Amino acid sequence: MNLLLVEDDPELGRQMVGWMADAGHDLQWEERGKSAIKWLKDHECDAAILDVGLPDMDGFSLVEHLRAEGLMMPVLFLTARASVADRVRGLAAGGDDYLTKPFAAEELLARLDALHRRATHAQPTQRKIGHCRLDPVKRRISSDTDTVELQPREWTLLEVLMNHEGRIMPKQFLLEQVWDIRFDPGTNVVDAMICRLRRKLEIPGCDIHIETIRGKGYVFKSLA
Amino acid sequence: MFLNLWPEKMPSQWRLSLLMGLIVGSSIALTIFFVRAAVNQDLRRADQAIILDDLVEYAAIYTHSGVDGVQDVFPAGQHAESNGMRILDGNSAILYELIPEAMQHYPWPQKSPVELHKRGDTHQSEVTLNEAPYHFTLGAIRLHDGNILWFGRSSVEAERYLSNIQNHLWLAGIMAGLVAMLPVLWYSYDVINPIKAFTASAKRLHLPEGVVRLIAPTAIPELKTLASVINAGLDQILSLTRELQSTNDQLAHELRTPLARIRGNLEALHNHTDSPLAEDAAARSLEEIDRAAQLVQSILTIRGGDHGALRLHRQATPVSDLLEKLVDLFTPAAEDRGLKLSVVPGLDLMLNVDRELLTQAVANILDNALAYTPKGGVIIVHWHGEGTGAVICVDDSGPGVHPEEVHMIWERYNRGSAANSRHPGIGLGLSLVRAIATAHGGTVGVNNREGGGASFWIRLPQGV
Repeated sequence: MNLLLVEDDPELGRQMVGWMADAGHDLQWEERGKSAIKWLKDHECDAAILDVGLPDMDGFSLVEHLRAEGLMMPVLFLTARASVADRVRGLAAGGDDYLTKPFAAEELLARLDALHRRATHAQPTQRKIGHCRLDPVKRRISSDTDTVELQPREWTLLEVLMNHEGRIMPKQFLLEQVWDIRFDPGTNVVDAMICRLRRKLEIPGCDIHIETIRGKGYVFKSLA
Repeated sequence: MFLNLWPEKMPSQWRLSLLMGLIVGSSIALTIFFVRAAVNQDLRRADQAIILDDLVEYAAIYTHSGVDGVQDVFPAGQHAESNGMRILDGNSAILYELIPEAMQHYPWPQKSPVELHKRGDTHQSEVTLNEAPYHFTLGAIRLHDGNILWFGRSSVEAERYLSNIQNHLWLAGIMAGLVAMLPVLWYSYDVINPIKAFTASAKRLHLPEGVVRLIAPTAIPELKTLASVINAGLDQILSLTRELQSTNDQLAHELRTPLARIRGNLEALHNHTDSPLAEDAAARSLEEIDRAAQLVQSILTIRGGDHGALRLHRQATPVSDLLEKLVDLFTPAAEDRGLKLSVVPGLDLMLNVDRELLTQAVANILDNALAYTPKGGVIIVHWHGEGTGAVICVDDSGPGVHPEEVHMIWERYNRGSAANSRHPGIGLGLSLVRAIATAHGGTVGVNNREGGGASFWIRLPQGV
């Protein structure tokens, strides 16, 4: 993806440049809102990451400006403000997602991925993994010998993981995508759900693995 | 005082109306009483004078024209129904008599009074009969030939005057009574209505996002002053609240940005180190940083909620939806702990609340219940309507809460004695619940259930 980052904190900017390079994205880093607008005049970008608190203008006005110019790429806000009111304001201004500092690199990547998928109307979830057939209507996974039915949330969780195959999905991202929850509920609810899903997927001929990565999240891997 | 005699909850307009009614009523009664007494006395004197006049007049007519003259003149006189006449000769035989029917039941004398000795002597007496409504004044005069002329007059006319005066006095009294209601109207419009408006505003003062002020444009100056003094205080509270909000925002920013920088560097370490030891250390540190960020957020939410500085994003939220989603989320974790978690379907209630914060509040209670309920236990989430609001309850089969700790557990950093090292945390969970409920104008509490276990509840008003 071609990405634009507008962030005035040099340390965070530097880190993000590194992460995006590792993830294979092209990232243009601007420290000011004005310079970002200038850069966007001559360049295409697939998604923009905007810090809300910029020295020359706030991220909300920047988005309003871009939207007024007819630029419709997905916009993700980065902010130190965590209140719902701020998030609602960001989304009302024309933003598509909202990420609170501090955040995990994987979280940012997963969100950008999700935004990009949404913007480009990506392929729906695949129907076949290895020898497994997936039936999203009946929420059923069947191998040659066995069939397992999933609960609605389990299915959504599997879909989110599958859509970002090979990527680390942080707990917070899964909570938001699957349960629409933006806080840490304390109890290891995601862990428990992942364990349950894993147990259900342990059917012969099904090569789906969900790996836990300590301190980071979960990765969907299909060995097929 | 006598005010104590009145029902305590009687509205003061009614009290004032009653008081004014009492004042006006008693003034009219007193006026009528004294006016009646005075006029009555005057009218009696007037009656006596009239009788004397008539006696002398008819005596003169008698002297001049005898009984025939009197017979001609008397019936032509006015007020025939209230005047009567009888002329007796020396042997008490009736020479002439004209007594209207209305006066016949009075005791007309049959003989001459003894004290009339010579011509022109007069005598007057008054007769009051229990069964008659009017009193009766009787006069006698000794005529030139020794006969006696009796002239009787009843008080019908006097009473007519009196009742006429009385009617006018009543009319005046009623008018005065109406005029006396003007202060009552003034009192209820300028005093009571503004006070009611103040009360209505004051009831909304606890709502955190409310910038409620006491407004009463028609109030009396004293109340306006009171309102402006209170409003000035409220303005100050509001500005302090705003300041607290902006301090919170600033604090969040100041803490979150460095945490983000550290987190980024730890991730780089975690991803690029070859040492498993360093990787593990980095992973642990990442978890700690996330916990710290969550802690900062919780403290800010609690601070904001307790001080009415929490910005709520209210939206119409079905209670059942919110609770069922949460139970759904916690069920796998509960099952892993050998607990049975369920939600009792209830009324379809809509609340105007900050959905995310309320979800977090209930999640914290559930987190608490999962942590303290021993294996094999049961956790039941249920709700019911109360007024226009709702009460959400989480019942568990855990150890319950020690009676002395029922209030303490909601305080910051306090953990109940059931807490132990198996359940880490610094005890912010329940104070967060309370702060969120307070921010919504609600309350929280915990009861120990019969047969063991605790029931945590959040009571929420409908929301504005």
